[in-house]
Amino acid sequence: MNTKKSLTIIFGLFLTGPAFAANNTPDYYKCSYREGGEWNYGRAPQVCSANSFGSDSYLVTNYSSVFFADTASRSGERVRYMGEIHAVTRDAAKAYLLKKKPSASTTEVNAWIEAVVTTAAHESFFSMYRRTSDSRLKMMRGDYGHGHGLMQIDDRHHYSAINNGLAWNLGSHYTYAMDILYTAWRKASTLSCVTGASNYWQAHIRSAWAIYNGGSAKGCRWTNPNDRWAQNDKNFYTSLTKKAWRNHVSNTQQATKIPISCLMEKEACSVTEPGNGSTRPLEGRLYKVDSQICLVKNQRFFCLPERDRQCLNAIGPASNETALTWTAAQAKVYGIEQQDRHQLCPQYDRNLIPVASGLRVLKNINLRDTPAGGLVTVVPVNSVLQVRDFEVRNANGDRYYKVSYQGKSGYLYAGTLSDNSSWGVPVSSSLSAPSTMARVGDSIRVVNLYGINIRSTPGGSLLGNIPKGASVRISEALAQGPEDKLYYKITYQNITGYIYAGYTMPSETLTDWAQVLP
Amino acid sequence: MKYLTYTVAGAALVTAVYLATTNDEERMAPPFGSVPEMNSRAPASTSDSNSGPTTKAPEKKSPNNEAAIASRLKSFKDCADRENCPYPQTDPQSYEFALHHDVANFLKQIPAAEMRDNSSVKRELLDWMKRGNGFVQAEALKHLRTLPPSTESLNAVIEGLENNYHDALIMKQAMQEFSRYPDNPAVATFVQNTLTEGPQLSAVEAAKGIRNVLTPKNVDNYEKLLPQVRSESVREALSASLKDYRYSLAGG
Repeated sequence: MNTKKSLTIIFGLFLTGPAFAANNTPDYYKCSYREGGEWNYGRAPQVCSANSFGSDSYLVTNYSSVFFADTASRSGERVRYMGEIHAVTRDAAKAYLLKKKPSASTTEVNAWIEAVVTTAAHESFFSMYRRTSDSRLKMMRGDYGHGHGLMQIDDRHHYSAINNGLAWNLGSHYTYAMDILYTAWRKASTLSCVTGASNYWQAHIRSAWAIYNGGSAKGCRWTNPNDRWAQNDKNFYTSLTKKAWRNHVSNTQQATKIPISCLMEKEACSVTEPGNGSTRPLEGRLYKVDSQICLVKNQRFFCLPERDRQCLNAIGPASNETALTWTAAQAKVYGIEQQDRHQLCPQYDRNLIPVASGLRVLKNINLRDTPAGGLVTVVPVNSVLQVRDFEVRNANGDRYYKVSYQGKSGYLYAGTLSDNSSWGVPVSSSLSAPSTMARVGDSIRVVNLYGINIRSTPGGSLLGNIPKGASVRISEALAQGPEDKLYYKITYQNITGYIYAGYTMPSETLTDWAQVLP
Repeated sequence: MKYLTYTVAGAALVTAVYLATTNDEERMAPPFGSVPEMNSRAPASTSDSNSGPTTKAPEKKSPNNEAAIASRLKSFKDCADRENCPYPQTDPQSYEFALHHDVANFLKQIPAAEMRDNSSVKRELLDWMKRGNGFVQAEALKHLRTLPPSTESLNAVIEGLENNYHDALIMKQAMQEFSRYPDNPAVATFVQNTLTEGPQLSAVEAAKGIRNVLTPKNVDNYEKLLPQVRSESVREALSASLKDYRYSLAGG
């Protein structure tokens, strides 16, 4: 790659849409162990340690096939890498559009894929993760360190997203960038330079990228050779038409095992393969049934949300293997035993601290936006927090608790199956700060307009109603189901039972139901 | 006003970042007295650009304030349309970003008392709601919340969201604003379209914040929408919100 080309590429390294919190971010923000590269596919300069924005182990678990290995034979590694990163990018693009616009014609789907693939090639030479010769896992940083990764998400314009780890995690990286490109895509379809173009889809792609690069008013910039940034559009056009990346991809139809469609929405996803064609489920195998993960035992499907996969070990060995894909209709023939994570996970991990309980942290622990994601703050040793959600990941039993600390919500790591007691312990002592979730001994005031029903069991038969404004004391707090629905045991006017108090996942509704009294 | 610049191989300025004003001569005068300090770079062609610094707030609100605020907001629009104001052109979006940064700061400093319904300021505000970036829109939404709901305002909010559709933080904020328009068909159409075909992160925020727009009358419509939501995380968030709302109507 010659110098002239290098410069033109640098001009392309910019993602538009100052949508999130902006910042006067310094060059090479949070960049440790910086290292150069080459203006070629998979190794565009520079790279910085990936773990500034999330955990390496998460990337290793989910994306190791798209690490460019610097120690491998360069040309062979480039072909391997490009085959895989192209396949993942292609599948990510296709999955995105079909979720958003299932009515899209095949022609439009292909054009969209071309838009995404060309953008990745043009912005970063398809560069994302690299395992450098010092064995560190690094991530591509262009434009003086401001552009992060494959789609060059800029840390000045997307500061919050960068710090939350959205750009660090390839799945959310695609989602975040495609949200911007898709907004541009929609806009492009309304522009006269597109609707009146003889080569409609090429014009569509050019306009979408012009918006991506220059802002929402710049969709027809590519038609104006006198525009200040016309060279950017010319360079993109070259990328679009020459497709130089094809020289490094031997099979554009190559399949990938990375479950990218799922990873674009969630952190915890299983690698799947099509059902084995057997009419009977395979005993002891894991199956992905719709959005759930199921273990087959005695020809029945024991199912949990995918993020709770490890907890299936309480039923039988649920080793880290590929899951077979079945439909719910197929599985129902044999019977689906829906499991409650709040019942099953503590059977797998006896030391797991339940939702609503107190947790004393025994170290200074990072609070992250998601279990694997960006750093929010540090929770100091001996803080007493309330568990609002939990996750158990991988065969080590790594556990994460969702907590709220100084008004910031996030997940903190709390050890493995074997060493968790050195990270945090359950406590009944007072919390370090007031909580919107009640604990045993707390009193609450009902705020729901229609009061809250008292039931014999959580969700059970109706015993009475506590009117809005009335206060009761909590004698038990427990959670149920994938949304962590919260129930309190109370006694009101001599009626003892359970009341529903909202949920904590994926968002929180506790304050719609009751207010914890000081 | 000072901007950071970077050079690439000595040949080109690549990017620019807004920095704090360091030169008093570069500070523009506030367009009205009640704002003690504006950190804005106004267009050279605007009529108030030579008005000189004003540090003393007027004792009473005056129509001049409204005119000055509207004029400044309009002049920012001229800057956007003509691209001839002294904002950096060091990368494809540096100009717009710096301009919108100033607009957002300007909006932030407009006292609530100056924001009146049926005023020229409101008209300019709505224009900026439509065309501004996320920072501008965030400030515009804060002001709109102090004004009575109106079709005009709602249309501006929806148009602005569509122009900046990928901005999930603005979507989150807008869902709260929509709570002031119960059972409004335009809100229903926009929210339903967002849930089924909007950008992913915005759709998730719409699903999480759906309670703001739910009423006993429309909850069925959103439930019927669930099978059309193809994103798993959007569907899960929407389903959880709808169930919780149903519970709340029945008392749990």
